[in-house]
Amino acid sequence: MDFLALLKKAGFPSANFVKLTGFKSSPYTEGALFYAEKPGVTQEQEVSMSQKKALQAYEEFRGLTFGPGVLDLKTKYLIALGASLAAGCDP
Amino acid sequence: MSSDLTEKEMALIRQGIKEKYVRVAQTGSGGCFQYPTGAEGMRLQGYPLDLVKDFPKTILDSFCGVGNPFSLGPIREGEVVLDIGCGAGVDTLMAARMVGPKGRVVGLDVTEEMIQRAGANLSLVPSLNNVSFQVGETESLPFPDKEFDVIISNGVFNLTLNKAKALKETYRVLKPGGRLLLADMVLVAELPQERAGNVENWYQ
Ligand SMILES: C[S@@+](CC[C@H](N)C(=O)[O-])C[C@H]1O[C@@H](n2cnc3c(N)ncnc32)[C@H](O)[C@@H]1O
Repeated sequence: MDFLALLKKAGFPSANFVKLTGFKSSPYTEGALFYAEKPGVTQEQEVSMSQKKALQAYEEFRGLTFGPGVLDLKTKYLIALGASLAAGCDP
Repeated sequence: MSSDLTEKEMALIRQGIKEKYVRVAQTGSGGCFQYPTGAEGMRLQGYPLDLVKDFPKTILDSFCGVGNPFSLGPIREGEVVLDIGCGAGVDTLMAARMVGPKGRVVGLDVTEEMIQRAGANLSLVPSLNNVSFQVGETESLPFPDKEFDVIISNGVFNLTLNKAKALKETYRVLKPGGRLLLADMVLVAELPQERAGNVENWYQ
């Protein structure tokens, strides 16, 4: 089996033969470059995913708060305005 | 492929590979290979030599890689890197430069004499304190799962008898999303009949 096939079988489905390097150790063998990645989530992707989750949770909270309920929308906005002025920020 | 070999042949091949690299470790890479080695080999393969301008020539002289793994993609600051079959450690030390003091690089080689040379090379660059070298074998890597961001290797898997096992080990110690930057010898032409069965093919 050739080396690229072995790489794929070992768990690198996107493994790539990139090119020959021109260095020959014999008339039959030459240097070659391969690139492979282990599939899965990187740390960066994980962070951006957890950010997404936080944003989703916030939007859900907002939707529920300002959705239909006992108080009408105007009252809720005025309470939010008062709370944010007291906290020192705009709503 | 390895299943076609008898135990005795495998032992012979392992012995031959070891003897060759003990020789290389003792005499330097010059004359042991049919392709350019040392600083000239690195220049021809487009290594970022500017990065290691302060390395003494003796370090670069011990390079006997078959290509330039660093040409396959960047290694970033702070990353943890493994160099499989590091030899005298030229790629290892270069990777150490790339990851900087927040990163870490480990060089592994089966030949004890090579690891000693790598240690000697490291001691010539006192500014590097993020490198370690150890003796070990590709087919059973002495590291926990998901330890490394990047694995580099240069001219080693072709010498490994059980490549499938070695590659599974590589996969195991890489983090998810981790990268493998690999330079290696491959067959580009059919071996002539009279050479096909030769054990020496393994460590030429
Ligand atoms: C062609 S040299 C390359 C050395 C180094 N990577 C470089 O580019 O200068 C191959 C190296 O692989 C090592 N080696 C051979 N078989 C090995 C194995 N099964 N496990 C670990 N290292 C091995 C040898 O000891 C030798 O140092």
